[in-house]
Amino acid sequence: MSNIEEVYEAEGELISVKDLSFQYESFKRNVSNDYIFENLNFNIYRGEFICVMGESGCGKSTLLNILAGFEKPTSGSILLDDVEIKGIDKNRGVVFQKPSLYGWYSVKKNVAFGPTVLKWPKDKIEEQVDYYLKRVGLENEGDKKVFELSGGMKQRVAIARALINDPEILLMDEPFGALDALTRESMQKLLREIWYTSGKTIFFITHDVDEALQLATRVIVLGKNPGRIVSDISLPFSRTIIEEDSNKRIYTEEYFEYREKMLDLISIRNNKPLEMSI
Amino acid sequence: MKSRNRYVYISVIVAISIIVVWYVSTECLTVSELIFPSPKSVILAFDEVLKSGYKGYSLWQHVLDSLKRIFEAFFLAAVIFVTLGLICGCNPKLRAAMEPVITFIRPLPPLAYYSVIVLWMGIGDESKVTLLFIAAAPPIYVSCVEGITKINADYINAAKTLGASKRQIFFKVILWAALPDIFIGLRNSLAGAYGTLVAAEMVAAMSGIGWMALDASKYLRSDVIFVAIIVMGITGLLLDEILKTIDNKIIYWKGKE
Repeated sequence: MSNIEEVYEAEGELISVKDLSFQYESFKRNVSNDYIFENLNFNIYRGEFICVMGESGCGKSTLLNILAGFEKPTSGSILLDDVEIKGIDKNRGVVFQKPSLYGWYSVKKNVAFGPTVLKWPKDKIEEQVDYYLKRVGLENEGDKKVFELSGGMKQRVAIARALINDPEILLMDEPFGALDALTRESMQKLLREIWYTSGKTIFFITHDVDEALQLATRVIVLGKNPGRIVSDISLPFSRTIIEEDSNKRIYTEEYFEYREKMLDLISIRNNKPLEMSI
Repeated sequence: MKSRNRYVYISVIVAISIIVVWYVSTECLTVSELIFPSPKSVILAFDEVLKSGYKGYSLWQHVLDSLKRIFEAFFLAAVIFVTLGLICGCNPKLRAAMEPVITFIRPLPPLAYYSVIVLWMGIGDESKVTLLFIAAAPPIYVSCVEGITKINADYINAAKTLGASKRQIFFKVILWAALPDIFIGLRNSLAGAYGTLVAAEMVAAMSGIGWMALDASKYLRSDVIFVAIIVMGITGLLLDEILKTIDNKIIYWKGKE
């Protein structure tokens, strides 16, 4: 029986992180505790919405940068569909903390950037751009210039731009951190719906415990010095919100228990208050 | 742009006041016309030069000859050094190779090496254009390199995750992102070349607005020098305005991210 389970798991895993360690090159001559993180092992399964939490300096962004291919691991490996990740490629879409849209292109052309460089046929590009703009609720803003959009709209364009290539996984580095509370909530709703209906795997870094609780199906909490996984928790709330079409029902005792637990986990090491964007 | 338009009247008032002060001071104080010509005599000199030209060439011919030299130099510098700047911006090794050349030439006063250039290239237009070219080149190069090296890494990383090749990244991202700086470089370059104009027309010139100012000084025609200076000033201002307008048209996204 256990064998069958293992086979099933092996098939379901999209990304497999093996013995991953990272230190910045200039520190290499120093003692071993300069590792940003050491011997990380975890799998990412298809369709998961993973939120990564942890206090500043625990290597959350570095982990995302390695998954994206922006940084090379010092040792260890990352496999995507059993193939080792080497450098950046279009299998992993990234949404940055700042939208990093191309100001010289219109909204449409920004979304069409991936398909254009991949030389899709023109009518397919047009159709897909329209589809994804509609998906993020910007069907009427396609011809606008980037600077005419609000912060939340820009991040919507960035999400559409990353999704249109249909990457295996969407990596998001605190994408809503700079948005105001109302916009952030509507962005969370949008992302949750996109995740639920597309079945896309999402790897999402956040500082905000409630954001993690309401979006993730699984939260990975990283600890510091050196970075390592402190806790790996499955969460039911994201699905509940979608299926009941409301987030009122989730504020239960269970929710607050999880919340307390996670706050404890994050601040346990250094007793420093957690940097939270409130 | 908006705030600039709103306060344009202040600029106009200041400009007019300067002329008024000039007029009043030359009327009230007894200063020799040689040392400080009055607006009236400058206008008369302007009229004279406009009607009968200066030393065999009309005023417009002088301006045109100067502009021709400047544009030749500016165009050459733009084509060569935008290309070079973009290449070196992307390649740290080439950049290191160019570094000593550019940093050495950039602060040199053009008059220092002008005689050498005349020795090499003769007293024709070539040496004048070369001098202007050397003055025009460094600002373009420096701005292009800076424009590329300071590009937000996220821009390039985003393009890579979307599947862009190096070539596509250069033409669709890097070039555009560096464009505002390239334009700053071009404007500084034109200003630099313009500032070297008088020096360039020092040796063996027979025409040119810079030469006109120099030649008039030999005959103590202060009024003509003033005419040349004012014409030079206005021409320079117009050239910069034109570049600025093109800049704002093409780079509509500048400073608005």
